[in-house]
Amino acid sequence: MEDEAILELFFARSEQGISELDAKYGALCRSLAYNILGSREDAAECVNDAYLGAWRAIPPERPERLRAWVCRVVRNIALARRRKNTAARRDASFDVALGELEDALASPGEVGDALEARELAHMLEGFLDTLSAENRAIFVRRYWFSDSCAEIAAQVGISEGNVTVRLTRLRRALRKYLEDRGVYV
Amino acid sequence: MNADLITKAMGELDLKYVDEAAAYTRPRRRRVLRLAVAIVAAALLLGAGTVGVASTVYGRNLGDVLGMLWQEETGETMRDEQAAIIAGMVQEVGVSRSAGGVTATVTSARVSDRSIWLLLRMEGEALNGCGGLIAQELALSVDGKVVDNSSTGLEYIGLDGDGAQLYMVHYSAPEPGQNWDSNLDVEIKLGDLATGLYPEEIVVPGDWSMSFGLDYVPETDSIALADATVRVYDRTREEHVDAHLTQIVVTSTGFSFNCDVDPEYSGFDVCLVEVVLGDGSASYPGLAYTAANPDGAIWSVSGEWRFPLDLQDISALRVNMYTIPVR
Repeated sequence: MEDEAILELFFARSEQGISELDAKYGALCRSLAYNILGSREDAAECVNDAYLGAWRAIPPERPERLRAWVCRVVRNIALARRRKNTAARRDASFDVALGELEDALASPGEVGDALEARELAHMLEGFLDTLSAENRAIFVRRYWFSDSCAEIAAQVGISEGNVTVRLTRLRRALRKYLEDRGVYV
Repeated sequence: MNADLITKAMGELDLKYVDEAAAYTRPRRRRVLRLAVAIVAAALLLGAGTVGVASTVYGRNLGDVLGMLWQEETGETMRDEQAAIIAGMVQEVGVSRSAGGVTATVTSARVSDRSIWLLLRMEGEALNGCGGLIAQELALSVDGKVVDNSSTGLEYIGLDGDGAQLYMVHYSAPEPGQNWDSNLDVEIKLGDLATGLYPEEIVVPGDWSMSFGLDYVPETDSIALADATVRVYDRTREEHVDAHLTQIVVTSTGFSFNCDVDPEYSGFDVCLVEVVLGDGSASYPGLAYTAANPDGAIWSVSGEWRFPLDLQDISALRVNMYTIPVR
């Protein structure tokens, strides 16, 4: 079903909208939540919470990019749940991916306290704009969706080793991009 | 601190990036480029079969390579007149960059009204034993503007006398007439050489970026052919329909014509254009492109020959097996 039709169901307050949303993007959402939480059970609950959030938000909101929008809701809920869950495993795909970025960007002695998340996001967007569509997708799949290299390889159609090498180069390029602008995260 | 900031910043990314990544699948190469690759591959196979050697040793100049490919494809030595025409179009470059133990050199180039051809030489121990590789990143800039990478191809040709790998880089604009100046600032960027087989494995990681200038001289000599009517296949209606061809022009590097067909006609991908040489016994396919005029009825069709030709040799244009002779 087209995104627009799903939104119409939400606007008509038809619960079929949630079913259609789940049918279309449920697997993607559960994968995203699992990458952050490392638990299938928690991921399923998180996605259900996200659907509830979507039900409450739409209407009045009418997301222009429904897939990305619902993914962001899932991600936010998963991150909040993760912070509360003291027993959360720290070897989830999210931690590994985040650790990679931290290692690549860390600059001892210079801490970007003054840097706002929005400012950094704006710079990240500038960096993404310098990449090919494929490298952009690889970067975002890894550091937004926290997908494993194997999952990215399967999606893009290249080897896992190839993904690993590209990510290494992308992190290096990101560090240089930020440093050239005087930003040390 | 770092982790929180990075996590928050990633969460603030514009959703267009998220949507793009969620939907991303590797694009297929344009059909015309796939055709080009197929022709080169067929030419190499044909050459191996007719010449009887497993590997041909190529020269380092684009003109030499085209001459040898011509011989492999036709079984005949390129005539001096044609070789001289090609030699007049080829420009020496000789710009190199090394990375990962591999030195890449743009040895020579050719610029036509819509295309840029570069001969790329790759040398280094890391390439020993490797067949033709592909570049994970291939970007060409002209006058500071990155051209559409789906129109840029990298084709493995073979080895030169020193065992270095030779590749042809070909950029073809969607339409001729790029308003290029007489001097072009060109930059080619290659990143990570990988096997071409699925899944692609990176063999030599690295970046090679080379900048150089090329001269562009618009082509002036051409042959005008009489209007003609040919049959073309209408995919929408699934039947053959008449197409009236006008303003048919052939040059040593390509062709162009307008095609007046029923407005419902949906595409030109089944249109085969060949150039007929000499007594008609030899013909070579063009790499065709199309562009619809605003009214949707008149299609402007143009394409290139893989080898620049001697205009004196051209005896006809063949469109979907209909021969249009040179007057």
